[in-house]
Amino acid sequence: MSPTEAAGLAARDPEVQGRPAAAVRRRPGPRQLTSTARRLVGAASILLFLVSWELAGRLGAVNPRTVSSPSAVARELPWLVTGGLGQDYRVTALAVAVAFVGSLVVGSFLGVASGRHAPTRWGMDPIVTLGYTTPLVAFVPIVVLFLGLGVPAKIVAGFVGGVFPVIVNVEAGARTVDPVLLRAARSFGVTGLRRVCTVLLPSTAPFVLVGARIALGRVLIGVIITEMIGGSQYGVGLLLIRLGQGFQADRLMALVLLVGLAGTTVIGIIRRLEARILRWRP
Amino acid sequence: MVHHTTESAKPVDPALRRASSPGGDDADAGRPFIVLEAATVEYPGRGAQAPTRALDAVDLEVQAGEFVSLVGPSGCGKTTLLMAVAGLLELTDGSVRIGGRQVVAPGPDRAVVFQEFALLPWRTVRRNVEFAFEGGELTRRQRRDRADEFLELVGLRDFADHYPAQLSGGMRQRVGIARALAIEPETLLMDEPFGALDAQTKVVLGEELLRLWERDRQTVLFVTHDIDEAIFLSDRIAVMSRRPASVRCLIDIDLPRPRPHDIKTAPEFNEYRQQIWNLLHDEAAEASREPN
Repeated sequence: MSPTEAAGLAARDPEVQGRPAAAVRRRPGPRQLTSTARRLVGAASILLFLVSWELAGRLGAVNPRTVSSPSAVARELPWLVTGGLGQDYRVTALAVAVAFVGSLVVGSFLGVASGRHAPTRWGMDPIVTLGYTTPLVAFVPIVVLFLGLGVPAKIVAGFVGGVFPVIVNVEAGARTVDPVLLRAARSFGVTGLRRVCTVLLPSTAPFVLVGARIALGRVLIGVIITEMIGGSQYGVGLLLIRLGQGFQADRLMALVLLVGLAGTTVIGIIRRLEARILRWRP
Repeated sequence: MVHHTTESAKPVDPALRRASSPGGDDADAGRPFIVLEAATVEYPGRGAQAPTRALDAVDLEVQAGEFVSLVGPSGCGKTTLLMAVAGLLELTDGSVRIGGRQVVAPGPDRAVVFQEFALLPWRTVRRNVEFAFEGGELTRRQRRDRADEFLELVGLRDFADHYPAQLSGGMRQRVGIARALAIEPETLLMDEPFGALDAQTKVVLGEELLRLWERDRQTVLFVTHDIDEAIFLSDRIAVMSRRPASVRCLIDIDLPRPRPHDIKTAPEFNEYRQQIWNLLHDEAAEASREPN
């Protein structure tokens, strides 16, 4: 939890008295210093990387035509906006979003079912293990074979990538749900889907979020690889492969940077969400 | 198997005997409300191990509106008995009946208060009380109003929007009690509800529980290993034997109600304490030498 959030929490609970935890959280001092230091070190390491990259090109250690250079990438950044890539972004973003949300929803329910019901687990285990350990890339030709080239194939490939890590994590979480809570639920007549939604899923929320972070990366891989194989007319994957084949290293790097930033942003959003969803934690 | 004997202890001082039975002029008064007949529970053994018998042909009758405590050595099966009455545990043999009906599953006529509080940590205090209505058909508004009403009753109205982690143990169990009372059960099943609390909080919550109980006079089964607590709260105390549990002895507590907190220093209170302690001592000594 960030210091500002902690302060917000404390401010909302003026009635809580004599709670040492609240008092400690309100004191900003050393914790803020550490977080500033952390950011500085992080920024310095990125800077160091960029400077070495630039110098490596200028000093002739590597060929800037193939590995580009930070200054050349920076010159191509406007192209990302003005290059008429809107449709590519939209198609890829849509496929990623649908595959990601789908793998979260389906993975959560399957994970809970597998974690709480032994026969279901016995049935699912081999498939899940196989699905999770087989390299995602190996599935892509199969998916394209089944669904042809197009948006559905990308979505399915992304979904296949994302759903297994969610299942595996949620299953682990569902198996550790406090039995006393389940007992309480039963004593108040909370059963079936209601029990899943009021006890099992909230209990496993931290695991769903871990699964979500792993899933996001795999969904991106699934979608972009399918696009690279020729999944459709538009798409970031398609752009990447064309730029590579066209030796346009500067634009390629700029686009890779964009994809990386987009992924990081979504992860950041998940982290924020996590802090919000898990704010009940002491 | 040696059959156990059930004896009712003589009241210490006849002058203290209450004029009327609990529940007052209730039509059901005098007829047993909760009836256990030869209730037996066995847990299956692991692998080649023999099954463990947790309850051994327990007979027990509780009147409507009566407050009965179950005391006994730790691990003796008191909780098992309570869970069987709650319908959370299946009997291997025998029967549990409430108001003439066989218990096969949990029902809205019974509410359980758990030792571990069993609150949902991601829900606020109010939403935790509302959890009691999750299986029912109340509207959102009705749930909220009912929850607030019962939070008021346990003195936690101002903490409705707090999370359990922000509360002390005593406050958390007040939430547990409010949640149980909120469905207005006829029977309240309490599994060492104050066992995790410090000595002072325990006493305070015991007094509050009596205050609430004297208002509605639910039938209460209260599991504890605290003898003082049992005497202070109960109309009757069932002293359990060590595992497999059976009711070794039933003791009427003829102390006037409402009971002042200093009743614990009264000579008759001390006599009950002595009597129960003597009964428990041998069982506890034996139980402590057995594997759990």
